[in-house]
Amino acid sequence: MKSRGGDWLRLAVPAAGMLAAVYLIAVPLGMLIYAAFRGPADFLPLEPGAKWTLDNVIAVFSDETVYGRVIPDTLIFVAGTVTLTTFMALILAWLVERTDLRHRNLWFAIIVFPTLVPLVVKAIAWILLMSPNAGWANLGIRWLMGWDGKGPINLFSMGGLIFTQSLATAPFVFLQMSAALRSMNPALEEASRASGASPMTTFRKVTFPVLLPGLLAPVILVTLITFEQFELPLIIGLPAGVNVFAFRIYNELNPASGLPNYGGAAAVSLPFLALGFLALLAYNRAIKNAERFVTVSGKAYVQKRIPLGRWRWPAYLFLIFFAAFSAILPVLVLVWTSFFGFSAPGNVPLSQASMAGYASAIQSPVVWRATLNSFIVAGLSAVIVTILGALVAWVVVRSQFPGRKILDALTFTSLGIPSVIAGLSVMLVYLSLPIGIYGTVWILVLAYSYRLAVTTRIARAAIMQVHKELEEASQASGAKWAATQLRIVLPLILPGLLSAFLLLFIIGMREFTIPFVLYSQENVVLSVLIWQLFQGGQPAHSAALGILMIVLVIPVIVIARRLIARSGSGD
Amino acid sequence: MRYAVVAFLVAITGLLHPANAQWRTQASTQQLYEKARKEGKVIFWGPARGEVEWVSRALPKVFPGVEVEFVGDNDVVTRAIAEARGGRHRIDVMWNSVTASVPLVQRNLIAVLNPAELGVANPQMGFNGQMLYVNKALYAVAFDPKRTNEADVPRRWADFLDPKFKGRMTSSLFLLPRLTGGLGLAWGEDKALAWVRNIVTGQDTLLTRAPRETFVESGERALALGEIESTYSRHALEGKIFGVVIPEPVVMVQFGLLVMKNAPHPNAARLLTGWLATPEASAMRQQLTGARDYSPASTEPLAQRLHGKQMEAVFDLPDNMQARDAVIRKATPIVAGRAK
Repeated sequence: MKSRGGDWLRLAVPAAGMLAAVYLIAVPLGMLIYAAFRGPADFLPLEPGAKWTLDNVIAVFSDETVYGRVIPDTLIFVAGTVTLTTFMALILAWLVERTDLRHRNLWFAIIVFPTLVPLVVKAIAWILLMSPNAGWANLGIRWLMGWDGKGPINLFSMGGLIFTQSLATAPFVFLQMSAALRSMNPALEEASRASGASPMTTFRKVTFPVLLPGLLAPVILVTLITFEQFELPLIIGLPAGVNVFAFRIYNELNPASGLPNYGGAAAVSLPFLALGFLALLAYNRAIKNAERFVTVSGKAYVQKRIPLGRWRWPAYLFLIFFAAFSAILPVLVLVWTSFFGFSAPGNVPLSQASMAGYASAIQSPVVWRATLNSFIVAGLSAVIVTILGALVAWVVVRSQFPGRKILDALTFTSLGIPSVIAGLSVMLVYLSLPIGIYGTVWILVLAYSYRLAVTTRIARAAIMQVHKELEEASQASGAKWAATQLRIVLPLILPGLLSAFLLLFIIGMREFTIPFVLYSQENVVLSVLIWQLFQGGQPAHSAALGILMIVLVIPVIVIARRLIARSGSGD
Repeated sequence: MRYAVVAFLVAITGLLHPANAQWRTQASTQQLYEKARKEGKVIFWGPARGEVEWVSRALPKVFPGVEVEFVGDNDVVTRAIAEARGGRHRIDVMWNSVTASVPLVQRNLIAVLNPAELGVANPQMGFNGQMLYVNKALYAVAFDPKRTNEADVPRRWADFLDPKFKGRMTSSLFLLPRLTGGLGLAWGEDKALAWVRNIVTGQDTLLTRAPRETFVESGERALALGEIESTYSRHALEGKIFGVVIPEPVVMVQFGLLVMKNAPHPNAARLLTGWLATPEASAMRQQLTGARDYSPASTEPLAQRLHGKQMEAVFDLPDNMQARDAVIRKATPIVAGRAK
């Protein structure tokens, strides 16, 4: 009897996890593809009267705007951002991990801090900071240089969009590159230095070529991240006349005039989804190739840092420039705006500071609802994805299930699904199927839960490190499958799972695109509310809420980091 | 503080205006209120947050036990259609312009209102009784009086094509096509589309979904073109003074209330709709949002000049909404950079 119960759970639990994973990823994607071939365009795919048609696809592929504007703009935006992000992240990571830079931990924290701030909040701050005529940075530069006119920085341009997107993305890539640089054997660099090469020559001729294969994976990842961007193209790109595909999809769903075009939005999604998957394949290949170029070994070595010498001050200037535009100035601008609205310093006496934005935020039931919704959606979706990801990883690594490779591939594809497409797919599913969660927080929980690739990757690595003998010993001692997993495997992979949970929670709290596509009066979250207040001409309220959001999220992350540290994770 | 002001206004307007006391105490209103209280809430959507938010504070003071949940967003009509398409009926009352409401009416999503049940005296109705008219909105140009002299702001829409305004204007991606639709009624479609094309490309206007007052207040741009005038009245209440000019031809848009056919809280929806048509609600709206009354009966000088035909004006009405919508549809891709 004991063994039967164990066998039953051994099959049922992973099977349930697999079904849930398929439901969260394959069903919405299937509905999206189905919708692309159903018409008329403003009909939902399963609505009575909807028929099979190629009209949506023909309309997209015969629209010269797609070829003349959307595709070129998207490609320029992605290429520019990937180049600048990689450049900035690589320099930052090298300075922090490989050189004798002072206060490295402080710099590390400053560089990583902006990842906690929702992009929509930073976008508002960058508008105030870098608008060509009245942006604080431009006013300061013109005053210093004695220039007239406008600029020199023009936020509302393709260059401005690329610059801000790179500032936003660089910390994520910095984290990946730091890890690679930290574990790199410094023998080659030391040899270069011993031969009399300068730090820059060593970086150019030794560090960079050695790391190049390993850098390919983060570069492709940043391509995928940039490809799906919606917030900055909406807030900064549109005034610049930049028309990227994520906004085109949103525009089909919410045209300024007329009816929502579900079929058109789904058809626009198809080529970009295909491009995303191609990038994903390249990413997968890059990860495998990178392992062939590993310079990290089990051999012990002492990390010797490269002296910056005369490059110290240019290095500090670069760090200060990055920190100022990505973290310090945006936060200062937000704090100022929360007290003074859009009035620039010098135009308003300090005595006019008002706490009305904060008071309104604290008193408003909508703000409290949005706060609760944000924590519920980010927290629950992180729990779901962490548990499902662990189950899928177990099936892939430990079981002999015949479809495990397909399951692995399916969960991995979630990395290539842009948020706006995820939001659209989930919307189509729950408007079409008789499941009454549209407009509630539950639709957001399910929509956020498609990012299974985040945990499957981490959990796979963690499970592979637990030798099968431990499980076999437990089972030989009479423990059921579930007891073995809970008592033996789970404690060993827990630090990895907690790290995955934390990452997903941060992504969930920052998420703007999915709730922007799916929001109602009931399920509004903080990032969307901040944008609505800003759009509604309430800058002080919007900025105050942005500050409160940062203040709310930081302690959660600090506590979670401590828990992870206590549970034994070094990373 | 805001809640105290609302409570005070409710008390004052209720006491001073006999029509309010009459409306509130009449049997049909009381019956509706009893049913609405059982429903507990009403979902109210509109395209501008400032125009729907005040109702969430005011109605529960007038009718305790009936809460208002709201969404104020440019995309409410397409979202309402999406929800109805999927059989998810979550909206009770929509506040919107005549032209923007056409897709809702065409899709048979709106209930026919019974003025007798609402208790509204002399109602102004549109769409064969499906829309209860409540207010009018005017398109305007806003500026910062500390930076721009009012005398320098043109009084005619056509004059904003002057090269001296190049790079000095900002406008809304949502509102500019709608202003163009109104101008199309006065000028004809071709001239209106040529005008908006020049405003977008020739004048290097900053087009955005962000609030244009951001750019005017910070000095980024001098003029916000095609704004809804009441937005700036609301700012004035909060101590932010902008200059506002209403150029000719004046584009005046009729706004009204629509009760959704499948409203989940139908009685609360009718109670809210009836109340918003009372002088009490109108007075509170003007007090809390700074909005002005531009109805023919208004004593506002501008309203009298408009209705007295002393100013060139176009009105958004059911009989011309199709023509206006046709221009809006053509202006939208021009403004969004998707057509030349």
